Amino acid sequence: MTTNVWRKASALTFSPTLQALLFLGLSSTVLWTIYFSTYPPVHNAVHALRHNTLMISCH
Amino acid sequence: MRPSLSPPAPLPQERGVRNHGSVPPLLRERGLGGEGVLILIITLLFLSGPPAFAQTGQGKVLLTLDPPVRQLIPFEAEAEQQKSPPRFRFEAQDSQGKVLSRVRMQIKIVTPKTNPWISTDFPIVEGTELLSLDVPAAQGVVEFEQMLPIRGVYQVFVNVLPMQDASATPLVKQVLTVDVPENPVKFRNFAILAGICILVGVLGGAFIGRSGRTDILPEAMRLLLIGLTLTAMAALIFINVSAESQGGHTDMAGMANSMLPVSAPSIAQDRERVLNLDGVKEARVGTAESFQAKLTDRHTDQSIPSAFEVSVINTEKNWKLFSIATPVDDQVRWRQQFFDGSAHRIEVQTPPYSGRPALVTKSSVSVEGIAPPLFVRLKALAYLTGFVALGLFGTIGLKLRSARTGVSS
Repeated sequence: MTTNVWRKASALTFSPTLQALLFLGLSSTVLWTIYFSTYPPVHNAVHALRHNTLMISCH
Repeated sequence: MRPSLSPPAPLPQERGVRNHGSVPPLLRERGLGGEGVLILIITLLFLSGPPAFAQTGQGKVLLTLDPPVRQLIPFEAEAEQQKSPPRFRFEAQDSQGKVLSRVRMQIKIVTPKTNPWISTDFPIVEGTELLSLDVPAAQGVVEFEQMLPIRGVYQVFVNVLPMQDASATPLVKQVLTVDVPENPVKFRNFAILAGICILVGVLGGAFIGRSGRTDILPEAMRLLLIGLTLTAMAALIFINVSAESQGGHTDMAGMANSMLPVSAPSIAQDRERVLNLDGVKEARVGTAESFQAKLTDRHTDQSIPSAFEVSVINTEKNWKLFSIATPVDDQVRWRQQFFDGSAHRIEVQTPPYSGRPALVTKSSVSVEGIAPPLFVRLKALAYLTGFVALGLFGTIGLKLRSARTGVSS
């Protein structure tokens, strides 16, 4: 029973669909942090990059 | 029922500057003679009544920019060497094309409206009042410098009034537009960013889409990597949500302002005169604030007509936001938006008088920067994530297709 559940969980975890979603999630989180975060150290470090890229809003 | 006017007609002197809402272009385009003009004016009066005619006036205002509009780029934040702001020159003319002298001009510049699809780098500034002026134009000309923060179509509302009667019916009432192109560097950087996003997606797809070869790493190692991925995401989300929950106002402007010296006194005086500069000391991006400078007699407190030289300087990077040299008037009044969230210095100077030196007064304004609306940022994030998804699913799809082709053959 336990082995069966583990197998199903593994299959789901390693399925391309879930892996692709995880990859997209991580990518968008990193993109948000670089280009849109209001966290001051990040914001100040990439302020010029944000203002010099089309579509990226700052203040 | 109001008669429909002709579509906006471009002014002859410059591409990118357009003239809206004035009767003269309509008359000019149809090439009417004197009688035709009279008949049309009477018809307009009959159909729309005096207010409509009063709104249009009988002259026009010519706007020229230096540099020309097609050579303009918006304000470059973080530029090493900030360019000078463009110089606006307004010339009031009557219906014969002669300069209207001894008039006042009320000028208001409104920033470009919000584009629902693509934001500018200052979304808080979009569709707001940038500058308003009410200055005399003895020779029918007003000139000033004003930095333009973002790309797009600026609306410039101009009223030309008799010199001595600001409440009179405007001689000319006109709306001009200035279409400022985007800085080409931003397109280049966006193309690079989009390319990187697609490339990252392709790399992800190359690994995720390895059909039949999922045993590169042991299962435990793969689970560990997934765990690390989730932990990294959680950490980043925590940091960003914490920053957002603090109000979304970045501390950068506050930090910069706190290091500034105490504001210079906004009064300057000599034995006979007092130059007083009134206005706020704290402002917010997106909101125009009123300022007024006046020269008075120190003994009688009576206003002394004078010329005024006004300049507004960003003290963090030392670039000029606005400047004007007004002709002689009782005072100078203007409304100003500070679109960059950092401290500014306002300087007002009156020329030397009876052998006495010029009077100069300065005032500091701290400006609170405001983070862009969450929705605007989420929209841009969706675009960028879309590029990653394009590369990712495109690669996975190609791999699946080639795998199917391999199996079938």
